[in-house]
Amino acid sequence: MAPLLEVRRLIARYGPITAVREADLAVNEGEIVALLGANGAGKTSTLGAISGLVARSGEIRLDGREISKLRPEQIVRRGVSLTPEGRRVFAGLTVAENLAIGGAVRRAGAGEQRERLLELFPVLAQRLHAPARTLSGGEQQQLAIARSLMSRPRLLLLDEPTLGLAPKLVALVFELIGRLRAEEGVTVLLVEQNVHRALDLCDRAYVMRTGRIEVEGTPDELRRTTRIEDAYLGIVA
Amino acid sequence: MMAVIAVTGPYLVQQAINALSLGSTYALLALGLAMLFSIMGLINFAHGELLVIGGYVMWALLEHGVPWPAVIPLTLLAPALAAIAMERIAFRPLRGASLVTLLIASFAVSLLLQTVFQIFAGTDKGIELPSWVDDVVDVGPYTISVLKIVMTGLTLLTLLLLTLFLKRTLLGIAMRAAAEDFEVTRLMGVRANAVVIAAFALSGLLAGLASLFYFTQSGSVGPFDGTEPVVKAFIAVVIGGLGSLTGAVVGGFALGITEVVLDAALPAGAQPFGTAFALLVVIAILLLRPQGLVGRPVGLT
Repeated sequence: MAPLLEVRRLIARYGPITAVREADLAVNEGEIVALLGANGAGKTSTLGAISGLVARSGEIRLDGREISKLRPEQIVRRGVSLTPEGRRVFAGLTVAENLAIGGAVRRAGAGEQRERLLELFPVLAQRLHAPARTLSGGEQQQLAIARSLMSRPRLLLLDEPTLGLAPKLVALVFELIGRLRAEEGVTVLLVEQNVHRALDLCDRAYVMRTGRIEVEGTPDELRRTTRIEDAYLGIVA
Repeated sequence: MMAVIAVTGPYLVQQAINALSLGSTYALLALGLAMLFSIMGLINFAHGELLVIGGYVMWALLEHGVPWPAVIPLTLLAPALAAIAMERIAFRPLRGASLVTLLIASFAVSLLLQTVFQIFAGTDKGIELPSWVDDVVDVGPYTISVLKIVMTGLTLLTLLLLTLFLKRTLLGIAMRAAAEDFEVTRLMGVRANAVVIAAFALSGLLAGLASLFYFTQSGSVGPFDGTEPVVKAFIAVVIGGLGSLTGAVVGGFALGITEVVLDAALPAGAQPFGTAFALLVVIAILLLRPQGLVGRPVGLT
């Protein structure tokens, strides 16, 4: 079976700077795949290139169909939703308004989807009409993920969802990602600094270094291979 | 200031209406400027020419004997269509360009349109105003211009409708979202063009309403009539706080009130310097509140 997402020889650039150099990766339906590596390795750029935010070349296929020429607003319509690094919720908008924007591309059934997400993220139900800026960091992260899920994506791209969160909230976010797959059938490509937790959760992982995919494997394979430790200098015990 | 406080009741009410109606025009123009600035970082100095387009449309229609009930909607619509054309022709190719590039482009559009007005319309055109623009109504001891009451009322109604649009419709919410973070708004699948075109159309509609107010008072329209109002509106935007819609409205009314108060309070010899004194007040406000009267630096508030 063809993978849900297949990326081949991906190059991503910011003006003259090349952030991703011929990266190959694939995500199968129902998988949680982690993208690991030190700061500046090209992880965020890879997600940005898949979503259409970053100038890119190479092949990006969703279900075998080329999406590398599409604009961000078209890619989300194909079922790929990015939860960007740093949460980037609309601070002046209420929780409900943030979710409404998230559901803009699939307005039919958006009400039901919102109800389901509010059950999954009960804290958002309590703060529905509060401006997002009044939410705590953990609550904003949940809002950012829920906002991405409003479009009912087949593939969720999560960029550093636990960055800056207290340990208890980190555990909560990882638990939520697991539940999203189990209960909603969402496929996840996860960029995460928290290497050990990511390896505990994912089915497979890629390690990036200076814009290239250096290693790929199952969590067990990666844990056994000592040289991986060098590849992600950002490793946190 | 004592001079103002000491004046008699009727005079004060008269001046308050003057201040509100003048402030209305500034507020409508300032809103249009603030909307484009917050969503796409454009300070549109060609906004004044939208006002003038409204004026010319009003003049041309009246010249051809078109009745007022048709003139009013067409005067509102023409600047909105012109704004959409402006976006498509001049600003879309510059999407994402720097603030300075956009600013200079807007000056270019402004000069181009002024030249076009000069070529095709030449000198100032007198607008044939109906007699009702001079109607007054007596409320107890006060004699108040009907036109100014209508202007203030329509402005408040417009502000209410705009607020409802921004809070209740998906497009309105998307515009507020785009003002905060355009990139993430696109990530959510909102089409960039839809938001930008809506912003230009709305800013043009608001300029159209300002047109109706401005030219029914001035009674004539000329190629350069947009310059002073757009500068005043820009001042209003800055006083209120760049990027804030509420700020633009507050700034517009604050500027209107300041000008009317100074007009009434300054001794006759100082009257020619009224604008200079108004700008002094603006400088004082910005010294005390550099972020503007309505303080947050980002987003449509």
